[in-house]
Amino acid sequence: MAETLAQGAASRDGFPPDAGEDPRRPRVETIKGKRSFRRLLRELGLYLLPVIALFVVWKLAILIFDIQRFLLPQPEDVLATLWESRQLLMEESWVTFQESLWGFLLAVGVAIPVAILLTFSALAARTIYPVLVISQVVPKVAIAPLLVVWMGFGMTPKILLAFLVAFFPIVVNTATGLNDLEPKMIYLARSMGASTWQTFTRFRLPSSLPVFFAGLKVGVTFAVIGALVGEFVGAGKGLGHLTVIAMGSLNTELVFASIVVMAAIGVAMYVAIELLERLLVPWSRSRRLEQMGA
Amino acid sequence: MGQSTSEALEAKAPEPFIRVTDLSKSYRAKSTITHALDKTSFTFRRGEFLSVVGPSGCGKSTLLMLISGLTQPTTGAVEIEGERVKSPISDVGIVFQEDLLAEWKHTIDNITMQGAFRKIPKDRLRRRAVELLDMVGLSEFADVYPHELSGGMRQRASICRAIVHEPPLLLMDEPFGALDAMTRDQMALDIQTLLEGLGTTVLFITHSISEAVLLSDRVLVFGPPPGRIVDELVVDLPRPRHLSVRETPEFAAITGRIRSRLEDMGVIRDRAETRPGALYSTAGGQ
Ligand SMILES: Nc1ncnc2c1ncn2[C@@H]1O[C@H](COP(=O)(O)OP(=O)(O)OP(=O)(O)O)[C@@H](O)[C@H]1O
Ligand SMILES: [Mg+2]
Repeated sequence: MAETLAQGAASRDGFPPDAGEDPRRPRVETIKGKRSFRRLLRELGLYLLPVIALFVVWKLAILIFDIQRFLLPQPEDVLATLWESRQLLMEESWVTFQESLWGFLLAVGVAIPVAILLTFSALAARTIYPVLVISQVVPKVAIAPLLVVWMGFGMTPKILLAFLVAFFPIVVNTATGLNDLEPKMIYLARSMGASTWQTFTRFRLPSSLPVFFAGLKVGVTFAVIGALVGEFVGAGKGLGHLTVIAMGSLNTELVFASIVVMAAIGVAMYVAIELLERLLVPWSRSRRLEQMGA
Repeated sequence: MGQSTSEALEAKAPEPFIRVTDLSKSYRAKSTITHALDKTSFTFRRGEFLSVVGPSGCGKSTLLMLISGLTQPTTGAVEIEGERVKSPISDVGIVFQEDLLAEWKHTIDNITMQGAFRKIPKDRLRRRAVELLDMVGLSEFADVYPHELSGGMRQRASICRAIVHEPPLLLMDEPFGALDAMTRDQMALDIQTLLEGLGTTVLFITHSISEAVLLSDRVLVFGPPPGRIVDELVVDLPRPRHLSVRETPEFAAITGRIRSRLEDMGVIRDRAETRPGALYSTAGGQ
């Protein structure tokens, strides 16, 4: 038995049989069926737990403080409204979703070249950064009415608002990501004969992805908020508009139902980005942390 | 010091592969200037294995950066085959002090990346990479991301990356620094095997006197910063060298001489001879 083992090692490694196993070679086994069904259930439970807790607290609050129905509806009534008004909610959320998405994509599209400019030109960094910071601290809610007055009740001012709030976190994270490359990696790239352009595309760009995606995740949720702010201020369509109408007629069930849908849009877009990240950046830090916990 | 050995070598090889002349490097910060390297001169023969030992901060990494053309000297020059190095050279493999693996590439792709900009046939490069990974015991880890490797494994991968394209010049900056003593010994042996018959010229920077002597044809000893060569020794022990060579009196004579040179320079102190109180007042002096 021992003999056949030794021979096996010899044929694999080309080491003489008496050299035995290479001590530097750690044992690696493949685990089959790693993600078990139970594990999946446990994870699902972890997601559902806070929702159930919220439900309970909600019901208890109504019971204990005897809250009027038009102030705070029963959670099951909200669920019922979600179902009954699904047609309406779908239509309105489609508008909100589109506004958020276009605003977000516009933000990404502008943020990437600006971030590259910030990374490569000290002069650009000095002139652009103050503008960025000022544009960030100006409250978007305050300029929302102006935009509506200028651009009307259509989608344009909402897309612009979504863009304005999503832009800052994305541009800052993209610029940070592009600076994330270990400076000595540039030396390595140089010694390998890489040109400046190749150093950028093959080293700086890939190394920026984890932080870039962190920015996208913040940006995408901001974009939804931006679009909604626009709709609250003045619109003929969208979930924000629906909320204002429902509030006017004290239809709190519908208000709550549309709030739930708003949150769902944000979550869905966030999850989409996260899936994209898992696909494009399988080596990212957050994945590494996950592995450590496993 | 060392003059005679230097002359003897030049008599044998009149045209050195690399010539370093009066090389100095100072780093400028806001209000301070750090003299990292001070008027250093020496030559390399083609195919020579040259080690540099010296205390921390004496400019060893700086020397490597200057020879590879990645930084430019304050004064002096580096010449490779008679031509002055003015920009990064690419006919070289470098093992940096940090492993510098690309986190976004599998181990094997980190190694073959070396050839990406050099127009080396992909399949040939890959075959060689597989071979090297096997030699350093990383076959099972060819297709994982670097964050799954231990510190020592990462360093081994970075050594493979530096030699996969069989460069005529190999520069290594404390390549075994993150390894335990046993793996270090193994790597010292492996390096000899990996380079066998390739005729590679090697500059090997290390903190370990015995490692330098074990591997080298010649050892340059640097004094405390700013870096200057304080001694130069030819190691004419027969090759191939096994670990047992370290127990021979010839080996001990060479390491002993290097150690005493460093002691003379105050780089190594025998703490037992120092009063406990004096220890702290002098420790910062170097
Ligand atoms: N990029 C830099 N900017 C400023 N100072 C530097 C720079 N690189 C090195 N130095 C300084 O130059 C001196 C020599 O540094 P170097 O890295 O060459 O030392 P070393 O011999 O490699 O040390 P170690 O053995 O610890 O790696 C040090 O005092 C260091 O602070
Ligand atoms: Mg160093």
